[in-house]
Amino acid sequence: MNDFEDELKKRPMRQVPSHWRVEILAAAQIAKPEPRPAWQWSDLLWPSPKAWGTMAAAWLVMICFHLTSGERREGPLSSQAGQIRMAVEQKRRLQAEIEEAAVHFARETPKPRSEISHGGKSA
Amino acid sequence: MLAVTDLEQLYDDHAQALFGFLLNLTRNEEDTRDLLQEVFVKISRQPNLITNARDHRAYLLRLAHNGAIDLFRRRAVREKYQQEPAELFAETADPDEKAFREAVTIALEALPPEQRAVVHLKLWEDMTFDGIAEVLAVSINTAASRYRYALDKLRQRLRPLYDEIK
Repeated sequence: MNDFEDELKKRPMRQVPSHWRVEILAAAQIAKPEPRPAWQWSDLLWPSPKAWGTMAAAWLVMICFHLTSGERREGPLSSQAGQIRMAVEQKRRLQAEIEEAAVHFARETPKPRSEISHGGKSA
Repeated sequence: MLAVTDLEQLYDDHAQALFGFLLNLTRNEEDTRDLLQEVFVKISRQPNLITNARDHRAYLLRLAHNGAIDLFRRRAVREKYQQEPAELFAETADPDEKAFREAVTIALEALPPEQRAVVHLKLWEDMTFDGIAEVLAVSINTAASRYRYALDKLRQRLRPLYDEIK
């Protein structure tokens, strides 16, 4: 380094304004990211994210399947079919009762007088 | 995570150097303040940037330089500052010395920013060309040649005054 450079070097730069310190550090403090919580889901999932992801997807598929099949079971169509089935069953029972009653009635109906045998009188 | 005290310590250790460098580059006090704040906000947001750095001063100067270059790119009219440049050197009561400092300020301002950056880091930060090359992301040869050209220009401009005060 020659004399000229030394001479330039001797000239001190202006001082940074003192009030900037508080302002700049305050702005930097605000920009600081939120502290990380002690435990995060990612800590648990990180070692094998693919395995956890696959398991979560399988669970989702199972839940969806369960929900849709449940809806089908309890849907308006299935309840209508049940009612029809019950009505048919009731009708069949009623018919059976009527038939039974008819048979019983036929057995119980009294024969006409002419057909009744009067033992010694007729002979 | 960088503690508040670490950030304060960083500021106390390096803000003056960053201020001088940025003021020499931008020649505008407001821009210097914004860029200085930008550097510390960046460090506060990503503390690992500084904790992983080998040389804190060099790393902060690099961030400051990148910020200044971005600012120049954003603002096409860099010339507007040449009308009223900010004072670069400390005040002095000696009129000859004052005249010389003003002349140096004007001579530095006449240099292209990339040459000015090298001169500043070499003379007022006492850095080696190796370190300067790292801060400015250029080769050592580029840094050295920029310095040589810049110094020739400064010598040419300041020779009469320099001879006088010598």
